[in-house]
Amino acid sequence: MRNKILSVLFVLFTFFVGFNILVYNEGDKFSITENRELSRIEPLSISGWIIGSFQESVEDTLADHFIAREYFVKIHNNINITFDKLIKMVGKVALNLSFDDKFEVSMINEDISLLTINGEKRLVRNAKEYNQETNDFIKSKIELLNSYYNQNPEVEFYSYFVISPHHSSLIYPKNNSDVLIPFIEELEFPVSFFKITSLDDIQKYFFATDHHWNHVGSYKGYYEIAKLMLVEEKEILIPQDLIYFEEVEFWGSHSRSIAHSVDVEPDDIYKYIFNLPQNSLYINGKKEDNYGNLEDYMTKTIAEKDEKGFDHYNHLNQSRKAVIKIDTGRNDLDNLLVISDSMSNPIRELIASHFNESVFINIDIYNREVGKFNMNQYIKENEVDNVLIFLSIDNLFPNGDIKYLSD
Amino acid sequence: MVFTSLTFIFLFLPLVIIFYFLKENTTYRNFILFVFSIIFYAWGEPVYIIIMFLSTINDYVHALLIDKFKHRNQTSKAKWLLLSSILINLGLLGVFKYGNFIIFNINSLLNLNFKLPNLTLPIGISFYTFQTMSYTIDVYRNEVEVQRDFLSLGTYVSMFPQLIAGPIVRYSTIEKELKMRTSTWDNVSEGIQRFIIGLSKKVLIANQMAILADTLIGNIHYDRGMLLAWIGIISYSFQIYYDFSGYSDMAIGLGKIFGFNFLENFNYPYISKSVTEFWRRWHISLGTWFRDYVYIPIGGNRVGKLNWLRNVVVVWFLTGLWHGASWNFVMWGLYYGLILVIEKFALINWLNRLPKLLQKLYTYLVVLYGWVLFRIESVTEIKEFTKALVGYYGKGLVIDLYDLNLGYLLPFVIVAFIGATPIPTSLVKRFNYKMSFRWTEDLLLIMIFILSVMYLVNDSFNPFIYYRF
Repeated sequence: MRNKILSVLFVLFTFFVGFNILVYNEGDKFSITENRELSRIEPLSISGWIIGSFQESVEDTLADHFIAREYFVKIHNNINITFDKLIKMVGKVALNLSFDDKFEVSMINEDISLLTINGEKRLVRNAKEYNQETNDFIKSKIELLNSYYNQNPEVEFYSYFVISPHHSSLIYPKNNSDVLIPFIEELEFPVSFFKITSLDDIQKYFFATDHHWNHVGSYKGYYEIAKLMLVEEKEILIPQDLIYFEEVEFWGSHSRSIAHSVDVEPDDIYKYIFNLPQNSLYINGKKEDNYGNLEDYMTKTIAEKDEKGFDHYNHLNQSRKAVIKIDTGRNDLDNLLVISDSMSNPIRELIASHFNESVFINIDIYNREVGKFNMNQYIKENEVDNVLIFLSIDNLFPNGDIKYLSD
Repeated sequence: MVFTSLTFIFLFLPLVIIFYFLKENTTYRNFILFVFSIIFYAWGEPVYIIIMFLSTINDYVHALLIDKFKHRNQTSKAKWLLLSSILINLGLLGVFKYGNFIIFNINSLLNLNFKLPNLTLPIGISFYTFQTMSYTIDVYRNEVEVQRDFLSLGTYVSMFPQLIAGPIVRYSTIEKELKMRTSTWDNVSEGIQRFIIGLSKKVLIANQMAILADTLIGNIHYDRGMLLAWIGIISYSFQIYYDFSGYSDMAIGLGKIFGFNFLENFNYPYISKSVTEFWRRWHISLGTWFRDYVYIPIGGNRVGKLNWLRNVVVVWFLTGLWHGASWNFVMWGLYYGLILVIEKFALINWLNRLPKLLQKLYTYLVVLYGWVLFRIESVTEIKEFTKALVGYYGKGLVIDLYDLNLGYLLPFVIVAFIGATPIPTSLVKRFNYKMSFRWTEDLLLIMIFILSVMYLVNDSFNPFIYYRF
């Protein structure tokens, strides 16, 4: 009898879970946490079956709409953290391994770790897997950038790379980013890095829940870029005011990528205000009035959008677009082309203030909307005096944005 | 379709069970199994399903003719038909599994430039061709009755529980059950339990071991020293054991649900006291297949020493090649052939005098090095990894594991180690006589099932961070 009950329960349970998802998957179509459309079963067709896309859509739909999915992710992540702490404790006690007392790192999942600095919890990326393929890829891209430089002798080239905090920053001697720096220094034109040199740097310059830099970090980045590009000290913009948006709580990309499974305090949002010169803004060729959405924060209408999946970094600082042109109308100044990722969002206007026309190309979005970006052709067709390569170091890896630069 | 997909667990399996138990008639049940097996196979292999049909028709027709000629005492005709059947089966394997390998080696050896066929490997072809071959050979040997009902033979060949990754179920094992079998709730319950255990072995242990093994058995980490190389290969030994034995458990459990009793495929191989014993406990269905259909027919050990050596080399060469079209698999097979010869001639008596723990350690170390040959394809990398294992690149540091974000996986290694011994089973047996424990056992299985599903669902969690930026 017991066996019959258990068997019938198992079959009924699996049947109702599976078919409930198939029949009633019209609920949520978008996951705020994962920031993506949830899967739907595609219409059955012979070609879809043969290439396997139909079968894949069934599996993805089951997974995306599975009961208590986010709780499962949370429990899974917490198991990893517990195991990581356990093993570290064993390492300390049994093997006498020494870990720095000021901080603690615990693996959450394959991508994210929990970093606790003097009691403050933060989320950081895990170090990327560095191997021969990475090595060869980065070398080839550095050669590509050098070839742009050599083919355009009339243009000044600069490069600035942001090394954001990750699992092995400061903690272990074999820091992946440090391994990569010698390759990047093979660039034949000026190069500079945003580096983290202490635990304080991590707390001071980066969000606790997001992979981007905060207002302090981005201003430091702007300052270093200005110095790199030989802007005179007196010309460098200085913040005139600092605004704190009290009503806003920001759960960034790291928090979303672990389904908010670890109890980390949300970030506060601040904004430096500058005396910027007059400029005209063009996004994908269309004239726009405002850079970013500061107005939403000043008028406090943004509080209505205060949910865990809302991306304040991009909303406030002007999200990524394929082509953003900022024209100061200063014909006496040079023109600038910037190849950048989302790190440039908060400081595009600051950089542009030192130039006549500044064009910021986001090569990822550009690739989606137009195709790979051909720098040589762009320089040939436009008046470009300076080029700035301004990327997160992660975007130099094989799956990073750099692959969208045309050879 | 794979057993560890949500589609299988939450759609396919309950549906097939419900339809299967609607009627008690065996023909109806065979039909249901056949239809669902075709859907199961076509889900992942919609084109090459034709190859499986061809293989089945080939052996169905050949077996009928062989039986006919045997009854007329026309043995030589029957023999030619057997040969023809075997050649067609091996031809299918040769073209689809070894085509690229053969042409690549001919090109390299004779400096030619034949175009590689680049055919994809049909799923499960190594298993179902061996099954159909064994059926025809057994008909020829009068060990089983010829199957005149195509549906029954088709059900045997395509039966989804063992279709993709074994165990290699011989026709003789389920001949009677194909005609008549009883499915009791006890069997169904036992089958479900076995399926859950297999699922957890694959999802909770093998997949975690795979992360460790994949990271540590890569040339970039050799310079991290001996410790990580050892952890890497030990993890791989557990990965392959839990992966394969987990799949076999699921297959045996599913067979049980539908009233079939497949033979065991693994029997705690890592507690073996010699390599000879290891091969009696590891992938038993393959070992016995080669023994019965290759080793004994070519003379086995009832021949002179030289011929016996030849027989061992042939069997282990083929065993290696069966695992994949690559020279490292051949090397791996011959490595075992050599070890078994050494054990038989010189080592076994000496081994028997050692304490059991040392015998087990010796076996595990030999098997472990076998996995190096199995896992790493390039000879240069095998050399480098061997150097790391013997300390050429230094001892290595435990802290490097944290550096590589792998510390959290170590508890899984401990669980894997304990689970590879009979300890958990004997503990369950010890407490099983108590009724109260039976419910605890059920509860434990439910928890393991939920945990496994949780890991499956987690793998699909895919935040698209850069979208909308």
